[in-house]
Amino acid sequence: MNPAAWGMRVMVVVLAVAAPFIYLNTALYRHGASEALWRETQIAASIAFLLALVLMLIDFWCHRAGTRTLQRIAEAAARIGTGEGWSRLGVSSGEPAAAVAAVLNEVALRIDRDLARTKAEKNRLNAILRGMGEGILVVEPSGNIILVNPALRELLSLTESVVGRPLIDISRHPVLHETFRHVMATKTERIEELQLKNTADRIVLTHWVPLTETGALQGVVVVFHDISDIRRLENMRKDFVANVSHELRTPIAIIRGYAETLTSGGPVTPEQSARFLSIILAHSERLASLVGDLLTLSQLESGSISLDLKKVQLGDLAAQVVSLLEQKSQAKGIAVTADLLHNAPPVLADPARVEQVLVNLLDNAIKYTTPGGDVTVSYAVEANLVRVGVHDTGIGIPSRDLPRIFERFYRADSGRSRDEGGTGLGLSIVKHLVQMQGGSVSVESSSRGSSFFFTLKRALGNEQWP
Amino acid sequence: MAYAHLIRHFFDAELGEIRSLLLEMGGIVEQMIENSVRSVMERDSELAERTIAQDCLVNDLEVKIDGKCFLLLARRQPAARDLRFITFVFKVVTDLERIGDQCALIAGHALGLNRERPVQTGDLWALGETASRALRQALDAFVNGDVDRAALVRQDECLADQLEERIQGDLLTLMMADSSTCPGAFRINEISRYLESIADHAANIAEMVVFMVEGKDIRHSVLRADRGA
Repeated sequence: MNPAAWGMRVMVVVLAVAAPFIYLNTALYRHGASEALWRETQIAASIAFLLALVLMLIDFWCHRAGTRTLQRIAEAAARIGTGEGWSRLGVSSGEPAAAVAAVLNEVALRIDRDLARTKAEKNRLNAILRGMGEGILVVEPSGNIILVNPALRELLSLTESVVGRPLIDISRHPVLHETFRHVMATKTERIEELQLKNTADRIVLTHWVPLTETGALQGVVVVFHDISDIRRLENMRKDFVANVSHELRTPIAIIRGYAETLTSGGPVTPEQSARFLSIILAHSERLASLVGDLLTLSQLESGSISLDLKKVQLGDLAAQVVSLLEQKSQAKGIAVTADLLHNAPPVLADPARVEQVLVNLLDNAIKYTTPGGDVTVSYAVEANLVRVGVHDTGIGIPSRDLPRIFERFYRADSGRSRDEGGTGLGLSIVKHLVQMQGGSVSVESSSRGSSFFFTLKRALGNEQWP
Repeated sequence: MAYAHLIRHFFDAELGEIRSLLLEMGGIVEQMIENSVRSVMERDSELAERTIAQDCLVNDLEVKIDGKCFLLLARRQPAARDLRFITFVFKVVTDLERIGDQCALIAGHALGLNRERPVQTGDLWALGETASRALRQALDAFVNGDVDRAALVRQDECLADQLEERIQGDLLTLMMADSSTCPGAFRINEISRYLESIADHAANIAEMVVFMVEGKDIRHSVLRADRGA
């Protein structure tokens, strides 16, 4: 209560006490009262004033106590408002503000609970966004980014913080901006395929969902699915069918052509017929090797081939392979050196499979090296692996083809490769064979030659084999 | 004070709009480079036609951005950093527009090549990659104000020069060996020249990024250093 109100109160009390005594005084004076009566009246007046004063003090004190409770409630309520949290109000039930305090206590408790739940939900949502494989992007209507999850940062190879920056900062792809404008204008969902080019080529399927709240557009959520791998596999399958039919058709057509000529009964000299027959034989051999390779590959892919893992000395194996291919290499005047491998530590592998790998790689190396070149086999020990390298001084492989060189039927220069009698499956078989034995393959190439590498596990001497 | 702040706010919004438009134009041009090279490599006439059509978009954006810059210059007389930015935009827009034109020309040659017998393209694909990477690096440098990345563009420019030279050497050998390849080889030669020039434009943009960020003019600095020595 303010001082003016207190003044009024004091005045009213003083007047209320003083008025009867003023009246008594004038009455005593009029009737000419005795000295003793005057004194008694004065004492009565003093007592009355004193009592009034005490009463006023008590009233003041009670009032102060009531206000203090209210003040405490007000302060606590303000704390809820600023979000500092709530400490339970202790108000004894006798006080007038107790009901208010009780209600406030309950409200505060509920708010606290809701806040905790919202926080937990937010944490959960954050965890989901962080753990998702798909990229998530949230953009507000002005085109500024509100949210980006780690998957999208990786997909777009973003290094800087992008929240609060315009959409164009993360990608300049025209389709992205055109779609954003379209979704903002129509408020409808949309699915769009983008080809992103950052560090690597990626094909991304984007799903755009407008965020509306009571009819007003709050922004757009975009989900990015990386479908490059799916697309690549699709293409590989399509290519595979096309390639197989193509590879099979060519020799069949040739065989058929010559066989028809021979059976038509036309004038064919014995020399000609011998030449035709040898062509037919060569192409049927090519067909056989193609079908053989295809079979091997399909067995490898289905995992139906069992491995016979042994301790293998690479040097002996390589020497065998070199002598196997000697005729071919000598015919082209190419020196094949694999002596280095004699010092290589033993590996844990299936000798027949490793031999096949070496045959395929060395055969390729001899094929693509110009006469008079060199083919060298080397090794390097890396932790518990042995890395074998087959190096040639051949024509090299264009950098564009390197990532796909281990795919089935993939040829850097298709015409030339077929002339050399390749089936286009050799490297693919190498890859599968090495992977089956727990290794990996890689390739390096320049215009001065190519190097193919494969790794095998080192035999450490304490393995147990059946 | 509050009023000045408000003006600054509007001014920033206008600069932001120009920046977004410029990057959008850059995005379209980046796609044009890629598509034009692909239309040559994959003999895709339809893609070539699309690329040629995209050039109009780039030209429109050039006019639009220039107009906005002029308006901003006239109305607000920007100084220091903002003036550098506007100058940057004026120059970069011209470079981007030239790149767009060159892509349209490449696509035109692709249409011509597709009417003829295929010719060996050699390192053209690598040159296209280099040119498109150069522009991507330059624009990325602009987005993040990254001077170090801008410096990388010069490497790509040098690489593009070498590749162009190699392609032209290969073409010469090809034409001398078989004169029937001349029409195609001539077109490939033209395309390689355009791609090399695209890398040059990208290098210009990268130099302008350095100018905008640091206020330092590094154009022709190699030449100047040579003369000084």
